[in-house]
Amino acid sequence: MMAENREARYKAVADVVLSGIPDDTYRQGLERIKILVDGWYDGAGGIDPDDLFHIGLADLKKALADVPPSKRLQKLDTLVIEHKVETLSARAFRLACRVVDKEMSANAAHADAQAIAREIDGLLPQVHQLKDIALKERSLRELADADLECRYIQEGQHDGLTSIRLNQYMHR
Amino acid sequence: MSNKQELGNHQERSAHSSPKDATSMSGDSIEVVESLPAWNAVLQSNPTLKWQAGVLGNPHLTTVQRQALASRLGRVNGNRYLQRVLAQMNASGLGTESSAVQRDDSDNTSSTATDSATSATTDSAANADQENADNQGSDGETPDVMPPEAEGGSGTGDYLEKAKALKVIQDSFGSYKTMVEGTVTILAQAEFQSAYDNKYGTTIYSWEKYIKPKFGNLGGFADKDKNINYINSNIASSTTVPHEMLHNNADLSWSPFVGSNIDEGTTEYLTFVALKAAKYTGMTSKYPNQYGVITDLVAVMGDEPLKQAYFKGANEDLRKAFNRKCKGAWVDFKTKMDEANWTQAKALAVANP
Repeated sequence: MMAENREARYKAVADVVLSGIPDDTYRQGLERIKILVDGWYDGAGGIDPDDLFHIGLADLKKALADVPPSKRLQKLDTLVIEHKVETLSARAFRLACRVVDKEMSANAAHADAQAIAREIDGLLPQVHQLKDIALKERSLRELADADLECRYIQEGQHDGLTSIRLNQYMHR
Repeated sequence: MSNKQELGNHQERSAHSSPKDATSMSGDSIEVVESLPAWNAVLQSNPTLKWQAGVLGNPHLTTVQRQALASRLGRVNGNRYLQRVLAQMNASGLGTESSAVQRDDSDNTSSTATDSATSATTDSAANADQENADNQGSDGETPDVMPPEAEGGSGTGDYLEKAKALKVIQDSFGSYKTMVEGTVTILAQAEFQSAYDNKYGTTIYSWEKYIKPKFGNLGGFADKDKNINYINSNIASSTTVPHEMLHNNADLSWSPFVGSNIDEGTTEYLTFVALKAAKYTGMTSKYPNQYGVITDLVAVMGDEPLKQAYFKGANEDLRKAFNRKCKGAWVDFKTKMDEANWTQAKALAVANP
């Protein structure tokens, strides 16, 4: 049931967002839309699905305003990268917070931190290719923060440096 | 003492000095004025052709700095004005004297002051347009905040002086509590890198081996043992100082109660409220998604519960206000913000029918 609904959501978004896009890029555009729409719905629990749809679509239309069809795939790529960066950054921060709070030891979190660090390395080449300078700088800043937090865990909380947000969390 | 503060004193002393004096005065403290925002402050400190020609012809400037300053001057005052400044440079011999030849060690190229500045003249308007198009509303080299008098903007690396920032936030939020500066440590690029390398310079994580190739630069980092947050002035914008100063004025219970993303979004929201009240325009957010969620939330329940919680620790009242006025529960909203799932957070903050 959920899968059918999800497919309907993909199509509804594609009808709006991919209108006028060249045929040879439609399929690629649809793949990007699936990633973004999944981000709206995955783990949503009891949140009103129609609210999610309206809000997600409104934000997407705002992001794509003034972007001609020929450049929409490129913009969708950018949004997917932004989504991945923010999700990864949030994961790193939450993991480090759990170590700070002693919910888990740095040793126990080490493997997760290493995995996140690898994902950061995997994502960096795409971020460096971003043409939107502000987004590129913001994304690099996010990933650098996440990287510092992974290092904080991997180094076993030695007397190193860390992100400002984690420092604020430690000294709250 | 921050570079900015030192520069402020420096400017005060040199307000009526000749460009030559400005050069020699900066010579004994070149570290103070080595960063672009500092040079820009010197350039703008005396809006006369002769002064600005003297600053642009200063041999301590690198080619890149000179081009950036000339480009800024062209954007703010127009190309015709910049041409007049360059003509003044030539008339003063600053464009052709050997002392004005700047060797840029970074790329082993050399050029005269007028060469590099002229290229900025011809390109400045086109560059500005291109940057606007490329950045799509970004804060790259485009003006980030225009001051009330609208005489010029500030782009990458520019930030409000502490005294101005304090006044701006005091004027808007002084009724909640008396604002204090707190510790805002903004370093020029070279000092910022040194502070980083003091810890990691001899390791695999050194600036050259690790940060530069992976991330290019850092916006900030913290020495957790000393509890010092270092901010890179080259990444700072005009919203940075009031933003960081507001963090310093938040109730101690605020950040733990709301988490990092609600904290950043709310701090950014309050920064914009204060800057707008002081007639600043053209701000772009460093936290656009967090800020977007908070502005949606404010549209539903107003900003008073946020301000009461932020400045006075009325967190429970904020939670109750959210639960009463929004469709979702505060605890879920906080979780979704922590996960950086903006769509779900916004859906939880939709008005309760």
